[in-house]
Amino acid sequence: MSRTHLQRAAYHLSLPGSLAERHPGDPAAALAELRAITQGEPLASLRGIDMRLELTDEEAGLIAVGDVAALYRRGVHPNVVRNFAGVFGIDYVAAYREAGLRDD
Amino acid sequence: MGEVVWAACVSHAGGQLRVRQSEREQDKLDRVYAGWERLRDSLAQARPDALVVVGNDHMFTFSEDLMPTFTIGRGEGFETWGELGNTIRPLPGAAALADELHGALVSAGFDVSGMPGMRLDHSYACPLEFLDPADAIPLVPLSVNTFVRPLPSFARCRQLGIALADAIAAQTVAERVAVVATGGISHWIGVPETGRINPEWDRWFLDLFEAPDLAALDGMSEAQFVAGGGPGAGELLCWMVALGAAGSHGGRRLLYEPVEEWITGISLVEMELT
Repeated sequence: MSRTHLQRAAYHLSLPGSLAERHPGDPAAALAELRAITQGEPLASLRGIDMRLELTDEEAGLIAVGDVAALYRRGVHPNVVRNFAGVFGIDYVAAYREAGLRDD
Repeated sequence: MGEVVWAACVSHAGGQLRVRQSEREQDKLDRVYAGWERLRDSLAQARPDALVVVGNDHMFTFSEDLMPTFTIGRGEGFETWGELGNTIRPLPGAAALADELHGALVSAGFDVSGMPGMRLDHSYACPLEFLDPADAIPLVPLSVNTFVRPLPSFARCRQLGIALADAIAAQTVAERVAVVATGGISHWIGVPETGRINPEWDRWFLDLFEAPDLAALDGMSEAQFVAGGGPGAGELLCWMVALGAAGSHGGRRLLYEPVEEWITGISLVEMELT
């Protein structure tokens, strides 16, 4: 389990005009394509920036179902959560409330 | 010899482009759009050869895998991200000026990164839509890390602005240079408090910024601005760059409106140059 890899996956999936556009409303399919891209050399080490995605099955599951509340709770940067929610059409404010995340 | 001929600090909520009608807040929206028109006219009257836009990246171009503190966009042009329903469009770059400013800032002791064709999000696209709808003014985008710790300090950003003004004065490729900083004021994004605005804090900050109370501004801590204005208030680091670039004489707010439709405290401030 790694916040870094969860964050990395959410970030790359959140970029507009890319994976999310090819898989509208389907973060599971977008994640599958991202994993295929990042496991192949030389793309995985493009520009020397670490693009490894070592997600546990649970973490991949959170991404696949778009569980933005879980992403937030696990420390994914709020901007990345917002961006991820935006490209997949997820109402993160409602999701947060439903998960008990409130403005305290 | 170049000169800063115009400077301003503005809010950049993406909603300004998408949500132009509101049953409950149309009066506020109308005042904001009218303010943008006044600011656009003021910029046009300054006849700038180039525009330095001090903004931030909302974690599209940069991520926690690579987050430079300061980055100058270099080259002949930039493309916007078109995120959150906004349009993708090309923006013109002031390549020669960017090269000059980058070199001068590094020589002055600021470790600014350079990124050819740096892609720009609504931090830039939003204000430019209003200030220069024809995209006619060549740009030098200057990105400040406002979201991923460790952040630069308010004081450091104003010092960067002072160095930017010196760099503008020393170069000869653009005689008349305008500067606009974008961001703020209070907003909470991506967090459970999303939607909150704090008009009391916003107006307190604007009073400091207009005066300007440099000691209070330079000493602003992350804990202070997050508590008062939310994590989004970190974008005021960009305002500090513009304050320094304009000579640290403060400014005059054209408006302040807490706009719930745009979940942001919106302000437009024209800077005093003398």
